[in-house]
Amino acid sequence: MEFKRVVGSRRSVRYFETERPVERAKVETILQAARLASRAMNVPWGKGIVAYRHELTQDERDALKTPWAGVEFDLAPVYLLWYHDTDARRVNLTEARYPSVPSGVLQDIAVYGPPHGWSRKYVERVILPEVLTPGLERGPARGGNSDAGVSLAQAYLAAVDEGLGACLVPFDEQGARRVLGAPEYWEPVLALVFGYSVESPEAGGQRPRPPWESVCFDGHARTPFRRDPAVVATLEAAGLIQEPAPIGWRAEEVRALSRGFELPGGEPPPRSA
Amino acid sequence: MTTQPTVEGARALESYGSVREWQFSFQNFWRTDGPPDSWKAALGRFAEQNGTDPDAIIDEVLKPAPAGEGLLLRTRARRKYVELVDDFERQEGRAAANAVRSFLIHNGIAMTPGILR
Amino acid sequence: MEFKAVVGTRRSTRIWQPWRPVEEAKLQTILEAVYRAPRVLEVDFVRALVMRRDALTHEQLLQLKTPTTTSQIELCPIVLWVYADLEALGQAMEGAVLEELIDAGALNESHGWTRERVHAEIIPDVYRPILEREDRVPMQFRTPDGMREGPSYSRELVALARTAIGIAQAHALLAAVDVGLGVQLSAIAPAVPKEILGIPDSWIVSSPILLGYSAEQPGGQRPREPLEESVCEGRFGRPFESDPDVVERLKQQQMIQDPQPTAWRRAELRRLARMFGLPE
Repeated sequence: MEFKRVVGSRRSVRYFETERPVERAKVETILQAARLASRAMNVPWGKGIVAYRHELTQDERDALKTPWAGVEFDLAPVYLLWYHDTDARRVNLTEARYPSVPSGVLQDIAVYGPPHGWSRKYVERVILPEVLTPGLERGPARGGNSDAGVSLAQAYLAAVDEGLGACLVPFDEQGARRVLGAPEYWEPVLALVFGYSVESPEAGGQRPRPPWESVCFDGHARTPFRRDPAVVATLEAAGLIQEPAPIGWRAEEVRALSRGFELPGGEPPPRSA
Repeated sequence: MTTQPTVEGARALESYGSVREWQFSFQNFWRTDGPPDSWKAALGRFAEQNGTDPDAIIDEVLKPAPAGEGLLLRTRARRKYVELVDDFERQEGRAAANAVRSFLIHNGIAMTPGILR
Repeated sequence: MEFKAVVGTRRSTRIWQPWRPVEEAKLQTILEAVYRAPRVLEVDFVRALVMRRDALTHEQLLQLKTPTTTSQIELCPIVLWVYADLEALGQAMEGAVLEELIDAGALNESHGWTRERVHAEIIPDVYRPILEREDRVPMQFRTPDGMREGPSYSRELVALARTAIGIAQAHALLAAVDVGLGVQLSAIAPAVPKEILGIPDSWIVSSPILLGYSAEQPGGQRPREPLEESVCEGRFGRPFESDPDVVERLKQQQMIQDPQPTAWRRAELRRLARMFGLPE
């Protein structure tokens, strides 16, 4: 699918064809998209566990739920639990298993070099001892990692590109540790739950957003970026900007879906007198 | 560059470990011959002008430092040499200055100059 | 561009055409993609700010430059900073966004979402604990007189905000590639220009995104560890095994591309160094 349309079509899908498996090739495509994301020092900060609904008992699914997200784990056939590996830096430095800044490979293959100010000696004598190593003795540290978010986002968009529905939900860390064996040094990010959507593609329309002027700035945090209506029109034609919520028939769709899954919210609205 | 290099002058510089490191790293990265003699001569003039020698320059910037202070010391020393090389460039031009920068970079002192436009 | 080709084409560009401006329409397109990025816990964390090299004064540029970033700042016409406002969760405690999503049919009773539950459970039992966790991170800011301490926020909140930043950054990076630009999520950050950009103390930032028209060929795809090293299947410790047929198909679809180095990379780098007066 064309990129802009992928971005525009993405929205949180929460109703899935639960019994329909997602082809393994699509699951791998999603994972490969995550793997190819940009990351600092070429270190794989984002790590994941793919779990399949049908392989888990109800108790195991319940263990993953939080007050925020529960039914999603009952309906989605596949979950990608995504983590920030707080030990990734140490592994990269001490084991040098992967091509990365510490391993010197990026220098060797001329990704960057002296014109950028870099050399092997710089990595050995400055970057490693003065930048990458300090703090390792404190052990894995939590506090999030934006690169884990970058890779997760690419996975999400890839799911949309593969014709799937998906949404990002928090999951219970202790439950995931018990059910899936996630290690303590993996800090939870979010789960991408996905499958074949049974909602309309619009899924109620593109979700409302805060005012543009409060999000996008130009040169200063008090100067909004001027939004050109002509560009908006171009992006509407390209599918990045789509029909906004609320779409008039969404409530009826949701009631029908709720009844189909025997979930609350399926009652028709009271008839007016 | 303003001064013709001498083979003898360039060869004399090769007695310094940091110049040999420069040679090795340059050849290794670019997969070519090492830096030309004219570049080594520029380095020699830069060092002489600043009352130092190639190894002493590298040692000054990358010398071992008390734990936690290394980065700050390196930053200050590196800034000093960035400015000295900028001065050298004003006297002898970009090519000579880049010769010195190449030496510094290949020895682990990272820097990038302003670009030519 | 096709999505998979965008993913596969994205590289870290490090040398741009400094003379070539980026069209406003392309900047806006990138921001529109960021604007539509998924939110974390439906909190409006993200703030995106375009910094234009040519709009900075000489003194401001000098403030940004360090010995290792000087040429980068001069080469790259646009820096996109993606921030997260840590005050956003506090603002979300009113519940207005969640109510709006309920009205839009995005959050539904089938999944436990009602206005009553938002205020009775979600805000007090999900949002408030995140705000009030005891494990806190103080904001610290470098000033000419030394370090200044700002407000402190819970570590969990900071983690969520960083996730939000990353999600937004992904949209910016890919959107930039889609409109034909070279991008880099720069690990070599210029000094965060807090004063120049008027950034509030509550905004945290990750690496800047450098944007412009690339002067380099994309070059080969950067090396990556095998998929099996990063993703498990069914349980931690069981690698998700890659299928060569899937890899082959992704190559045909250009998500997976020929690896670095290309045979001509060193020659290209040398030519670029000479074009811009960079050392070798």
